[in-house]
This record gives sequence, C-alpha cells and structure tokens, in this order.
Amino acid sequence: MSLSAIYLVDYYANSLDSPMHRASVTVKMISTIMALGSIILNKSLLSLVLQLFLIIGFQTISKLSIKRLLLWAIYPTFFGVLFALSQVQYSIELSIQTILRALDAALLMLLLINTTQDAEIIPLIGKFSRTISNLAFFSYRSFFLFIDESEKRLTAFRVRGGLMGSLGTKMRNIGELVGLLFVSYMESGEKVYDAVKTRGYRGMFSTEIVAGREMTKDDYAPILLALFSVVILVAGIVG
Amino acid sequence: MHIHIPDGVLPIWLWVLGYIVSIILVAFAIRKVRGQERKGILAAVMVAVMLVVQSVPLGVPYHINLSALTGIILGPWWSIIAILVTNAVEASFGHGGVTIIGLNTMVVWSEALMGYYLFAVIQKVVGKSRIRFPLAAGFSALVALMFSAFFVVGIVAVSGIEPAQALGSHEQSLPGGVAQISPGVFMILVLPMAIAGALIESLITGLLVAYVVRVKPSLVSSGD
Repeated sequence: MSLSAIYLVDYYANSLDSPMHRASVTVKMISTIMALGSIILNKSLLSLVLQLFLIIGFQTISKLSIKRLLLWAIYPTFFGVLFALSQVQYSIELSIQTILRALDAALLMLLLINTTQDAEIIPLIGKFSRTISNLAFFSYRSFFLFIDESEKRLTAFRVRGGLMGSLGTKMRNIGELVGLLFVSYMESGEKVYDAVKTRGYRGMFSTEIVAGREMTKDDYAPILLALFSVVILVAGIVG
Repeated sequence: MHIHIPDGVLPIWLWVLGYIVSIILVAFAIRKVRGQERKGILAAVMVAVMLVVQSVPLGVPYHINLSALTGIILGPWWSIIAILVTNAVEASFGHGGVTIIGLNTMVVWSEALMGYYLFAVIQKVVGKSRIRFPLAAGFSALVALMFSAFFVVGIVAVSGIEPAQALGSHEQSLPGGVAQISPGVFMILVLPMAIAGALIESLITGLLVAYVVRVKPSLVSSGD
C-alpha cells in the first residue's frame, strides 16, 4: 500500500456513508474478530471462497472500490503465495486455501479500516490503555503531517537540483534530505508537544467513548457479517 | 526484520503465546514510562516514521523498519509500545497478519532492545564522538537485525508448520516427515535477503545518526 493510498483509506472512512460506516465501532471490532476467527479456523476451500464473496459483498454495500481494495490486498496475499508455493508439492488444495485465507483476512481488515474513523477506534483502545491510545492518536495524525512535509521538501529538493551532479553527489544529497526530514519530523513532534502542553496536556487526552449508546439498525450489518462467517465456517466443518 | 506470515498458518498456541508475552511486556513498559510525556511524543513520531519507511517500496519483498534507531532514540520501554502500535496499524491495513502482531512485536522489539544496549555499550567502550556515533549506531543496527533474522527462523522452526496439520488431516502418510518445512532450508531462503536488508538498514541508520548528531545531538542521547 503506497503512502497516497492511506489518504484514500482516511477519505473512505471519514467521507463515505453506509450501514457499516454508521455501525458502532465496538460491534464492528467484535464482529471482525469473529469473522477473522472463522477465516483462521476454516479448512474448507469452498467455505473460504464463500467467505471471500461475503467480504466483497459487504465492501460493495459499504460503497468501497473492490478493485482498489483487491489491489491493496496484493501485498499481504503475496506472502500467502510464498507459503502456498512451499506447500504445493503436498497439496494444491492446501496451497489455494493458504492464499485464500491470506486474501480473506487482508480484505476483512481493509473493510474494517475503510469503514471506521480513527477517532472511533482510538477511544476504544483507550478503554484498555490510555498510553497506547494517546500514542496511536499522535502517531496517526503525525503520519499525515509527515507525508505533507515530505512531499513539500521533496519538491523543493528536486527544484533546487538535488538530483543533479555525479552519483556520489546525488547520494550525499539524498542522505542529507532523509536526515533533514527525520530531524524535521522530530522537531514538529516536539512543537506539537509544546503546543498541547500549553493547553493543559499532562500526558493524557480524554478518550472516553460516548457511554450508553443504544444499538441501531446499522449495527446489524457487522453482526450479519460475523453471523454469516460463523455459518460458513460451521457449514465447511459439517459439509 | 518483520514476519509476514499470513493469518491461519502459524499454530494457535504460538501466536497466542506471542500475544501473551507481548501484552505482559507492554503492560510493564507502560508502568515504566509513566510521567515521560515528552518522550511519548517522540515515540509517536517514531511510529509515524516507521510507518512511512515501511511504506517505501524497495522493489523486493523487504522493507526497512528503523527499529534499532527507534531503540536508540526511545530506549527499551517506549520502543516496545511504539513497535506494538506500528504493528497494529500495519496489520489493520492488511500488512502482516493480525494474529502475528504479538510475535512481530517481540521480533521487532528484539532489534530495538539490542540496538539500544549495543549502542550504549559501544559508546562506553570507544567513547563518544561525531564519527563514532554513526559507526556505533550502524554496527548496532546490523548486529540487531542479524539477531532478529535468527529469531524469525527460530519462530518458524518452533512453529513446525506442517502442511498435513494445516490441512486438518491426521494422516501420517507424507514421505518420511519431509512435509515439515526445514528450518535449515528456510534459513537458506531467508538469510540472503535478511543480510542484504540488514546492510541497507544499518547504513541508513548510521547515516541518519550522522546527520542527527550534526544538527540535533540531543535526540540521539535521549535514549540514555
């Protein structure tokens, strides 16, 4: 997944509207864990294919680009293919299962992340550890700032002839650029810290989940995903 | 080094154990870092840096992590928390399995831990200077990355991934037990790439430290 793709994930999660997008983050997380468990425990080729169609179906309902999500899932699936190749001499079916399991799991996680805002996930993490949720909050936001910063400095670097000259000069210039970016990331992090400290930050942001949220009909979307996944798993075991 | 085993391949006991050990270590780390808010911000920056560098395509199925540098800058306790968050974010984007977040945290943290302590020891032995800093950092990263490559091979060896078991078959008809992936063969396949990757990453670590020491030396000594 390229850097620009993460912008798109952020856009999908924050700007699209579907039952999966509107569903409670807690329900989505529990449903995803159940669906993932079903994929991991699944030992039937047909069931894994059905699971794939189920996830793609939910991605379609969520108005996500299937083509793009499949493209993003190539990287993790590639490693599934490596394992599959080591198994192919023993069983072709097992190899295909390994690839499908990797693809299903990657697409499932992409479904979750593309339909859930970071502002919803981070408070959920905060229920377990505020240190981790604060770190995740700062990191996720910093990530986008850094991409912007990198692009600006890279453009300036090219315009000012950073890639001109001999190979040695180019390497030295690139090295200086990477070092400069690294230091500027660190300095911007420290600036953010000083800024939030002046506003009363003492090591913890409030990351409370809105308590007592009633279940809505949108929550049935992830519940159905989990339910169908378990049914497919059981059918695979029984059948 | 970063394990890219897809979900559903490793035995459940192994990845559950990875989660348990990581959770215990992270819980301990959270207690240790209490009150170090400024370094928490640096940790967040390092998470973002690790995410950025991991997204840079190298044309081969290998990416740099800058984990040893993370250890050098953050120290052992903030680094494990930062590495856990990085792995969790990566997994949520489909990069690496969700089930191996715990194991990956241990593998990548071993690099940070070794990078941090080696860097500290080398500094004590050879002394601090603008030239020795980057050399110490590069060497620490190289040793740490090589160590983690063997750690990964060890995990695969312990996992005993066997196709027949993965298929759910209890038949023992596979010829002479050769179905088991040999750790030796795995090491032969993985090590050349690990060595090449470790060399590149240690060079980058050394160059970055050289630059940082020149313009902002307080960052490198902040792991003390």
